[in-house]
Amino acid sequence: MAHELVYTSAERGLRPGTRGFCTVAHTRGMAPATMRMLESLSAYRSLYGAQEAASLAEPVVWSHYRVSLMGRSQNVLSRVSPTGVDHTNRSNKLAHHLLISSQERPVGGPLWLCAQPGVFLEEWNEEPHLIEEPKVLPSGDEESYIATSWASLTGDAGHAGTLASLFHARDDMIVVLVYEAGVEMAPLLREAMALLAPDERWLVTYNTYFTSLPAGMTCAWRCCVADSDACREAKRNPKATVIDLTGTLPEPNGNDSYVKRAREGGAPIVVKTQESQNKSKFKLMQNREINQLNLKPRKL
Amino acid sequence: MSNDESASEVPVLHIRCQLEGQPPIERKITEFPCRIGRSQNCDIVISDSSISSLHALISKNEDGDLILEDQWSTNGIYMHFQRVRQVKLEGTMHLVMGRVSIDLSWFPAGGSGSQASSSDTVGVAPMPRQRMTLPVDPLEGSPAATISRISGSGQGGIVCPHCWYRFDVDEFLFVSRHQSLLGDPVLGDDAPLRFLPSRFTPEGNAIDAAGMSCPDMACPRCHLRIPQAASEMPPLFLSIVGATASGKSYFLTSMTWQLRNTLSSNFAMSFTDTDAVNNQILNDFEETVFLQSDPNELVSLRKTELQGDLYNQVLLDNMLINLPKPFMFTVTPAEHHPRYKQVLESMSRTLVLYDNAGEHFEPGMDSVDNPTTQHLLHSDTIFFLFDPTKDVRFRKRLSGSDDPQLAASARVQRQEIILTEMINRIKKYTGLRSGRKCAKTLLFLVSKCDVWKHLLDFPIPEEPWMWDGDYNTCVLDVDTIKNVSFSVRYLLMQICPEVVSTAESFAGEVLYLPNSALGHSPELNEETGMIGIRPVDVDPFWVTVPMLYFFYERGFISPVPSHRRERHPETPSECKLSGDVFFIMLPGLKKPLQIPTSFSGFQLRCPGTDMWFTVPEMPGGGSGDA
Repeated sequence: MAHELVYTSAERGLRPGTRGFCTVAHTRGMAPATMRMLESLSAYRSLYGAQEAASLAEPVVWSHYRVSLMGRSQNVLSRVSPTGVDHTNRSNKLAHHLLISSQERPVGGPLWLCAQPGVFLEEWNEEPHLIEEPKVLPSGDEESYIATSWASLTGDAGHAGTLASLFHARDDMIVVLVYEAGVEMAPLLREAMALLAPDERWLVTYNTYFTSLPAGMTCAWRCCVADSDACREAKRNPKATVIDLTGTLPEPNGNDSYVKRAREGGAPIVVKTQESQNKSKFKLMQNREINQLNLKPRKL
Repeated sequence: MSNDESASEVPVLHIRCQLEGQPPIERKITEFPCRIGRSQNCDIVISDSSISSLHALISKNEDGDLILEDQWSTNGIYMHFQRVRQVKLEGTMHLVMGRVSIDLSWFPAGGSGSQASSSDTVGVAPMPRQRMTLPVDPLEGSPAATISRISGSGQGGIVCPHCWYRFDVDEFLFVSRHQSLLGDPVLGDDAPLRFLPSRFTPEGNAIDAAGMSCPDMACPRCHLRIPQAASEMPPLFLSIVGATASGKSYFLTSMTWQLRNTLSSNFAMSFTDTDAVNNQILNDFEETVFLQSDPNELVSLRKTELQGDLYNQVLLDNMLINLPKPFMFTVTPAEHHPRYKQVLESMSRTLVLYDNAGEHFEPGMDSVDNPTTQHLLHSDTIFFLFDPTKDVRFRKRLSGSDDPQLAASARVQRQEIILTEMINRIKKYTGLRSGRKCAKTLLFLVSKCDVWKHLLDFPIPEEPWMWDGDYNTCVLDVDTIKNVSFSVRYLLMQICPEVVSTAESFAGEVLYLPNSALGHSPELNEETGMIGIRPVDVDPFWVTVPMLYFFYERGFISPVPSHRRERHPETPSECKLSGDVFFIMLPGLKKPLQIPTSFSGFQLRCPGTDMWFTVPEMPGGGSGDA
């Protein structure tokens, strides 16, 4: 289950007296500090002028960050996109954030979860309200590991494996993926992430339309629109490996197991990381509900 | 020359400084010029944060008169609730500098006071460099006060335009340039490391740990980059406040765009971007509105967000804090300025502006991790943008207009709540007591005047300035500006008087000015539902006047000289002064006009009539000069 927060421009917000850009919904019991942190992740930088026809094709931000809240490591999944006009006839955006604890992460990984229907909102036409219950997340896993989107874009599905293999290159690896505006990056990242072991998928932070790094956060996979300021800045980072999708990519290493899997499919490649080793010591107890407030299991 | 004879020729100035709650300090001054300020180098040091480093200067002119002059202080000098730049000292006078009350008694050479010995003071033995101590911070320990307390606790002459921290030049950090030196504890992993240099190049640039020359400097507190020009010239902070959709971004865009031209071509002043990187967003706005390749295409500025490009996120005291990105402009006299050499140093300033989202001014939006409106405390002047299309009462007067902002479905909003919230924030962080007025000037800008201008019965000229051949630049027609202000105030008093009373209960001087950022009603794009404007229709009106008045107050722009001021035949009137209001009775009026003292010395026209009258000068002189 996940706690969620919805942020957009509305005539009236959830908190009394708020209007304009504000929170219009959040799960009951969410701490103010958590709300502020999620609101701070709601920034959006438009690619086009407000009245330009191309503004209908503004990229959607799909992001995943890892945060520490109240001593617990949690994952934040976000979807931020422009969404027509607000009540003042000016540009609007919709940000929907999910806060997921480590015990509730679906095996399929963050991008698999984002792709499931009904998980994220694409529009908001409701009155401000509290969300009474945390969101029940679908469970499941990837069904195919052949990187068809990569094959379609670059001509070789193996490039997904190149990206996946970089995950193990070094702990602070940053990958900058440069793309032309209009390319959907979420499916590409999803296919690369699917090649990783389920435990590893939730360790990969990413942003499909990266413009700046939120303070205090890390972002391993940064998708930047070609020729943007963010792209130029990101490329200058000495820790960054650049995968430029606007040009011809070098041939993937055919001996790399991730590259092979991306081309041919097959079972996930499990490489035990420290975190996955720690996790394997603990198993979710059956038929018990974990009280999120005091973490003591209690019988249903 | 005997001592008595020499004493009789020396003007003696008694000065009594009092900070509320503190015992007064009195001194006798016989040597001039005398500097008053917070800096240790001053002759009279007042250690209060409301006093600028060099706040005022008392000097003797050629005629032997003592002149007290404001040294472009942040909180100004006030006499009878009116801000003054220069005052000729006569007899006994009472002034206010920031939070400090100053009583001056001057006895010129040969006067009765000159017989007093130089060591005689009123009640208190003379002490060199008498210092007034700070009161205990009433907000000590309050989390919401942390930022402002830190902001004010720094000492020194540099003020960070990002976090308003005051520091000395030797506290500057430098920004590493080598690619390996990434990761700053305040700005995050992606930012180059900031460092305190120990090695310098012959050109004065710091050398980072990897041996690279680093010219970029940063604030020691927030670590954000400060352009070198901004560090060399004292800042002038300006806040623009307004409700959501009141047009702040459009106003800011039009104003800066027009100022680039108006100041240089009319007033011999240069107005340029201090740093292109910092002003990138505003430059993009200007391009959108004024430099479109197809001027017939509909354009619009996006709604200002509360996160993202207009803010910097920093980690301070383990808190994630959003600081607004400042837009910075360098203001200097042009070389052809008639007094270029004399004013080069005093007029060279960095103008710092912020474009906040309207939501930031809503009640409850001010928090320790979101001090995005704390620039209000440091601003020399505040522009409050009032949108009449959002006021129900104004809208009734404007029915019949096809402006989409006046459509029945358009939203309305009570804007005096925003004004009240702004006032409360300033009072909270400055400790201003209830009932006392702030020393800041409030420019109350009634926007979108292309829609409502016809409600005014005073003709507004396109350009309230004129060429002065003697001075070789344009001079500002302050008389016209004051009359327009009076007329707008009168209109507001009829329609929404609570807004006027709120503004005037807070600020010592309030000026009411009309403006139109676009000069034309926007259009509704039927396809997208978004309002926009066609660049070919854009014709800003009076967007530069607020800033011109701001510069005039600081002596950068001269008013129309006395001999060229237009005078109208006057109607006899009766006048009474009560507090900070003149009651002026004219023939035919049922009740007297109530006119704030900020209009004293100006000839005004009674609204709805052709009767002209002059608001008397304040007792003791020192009114706003024009």
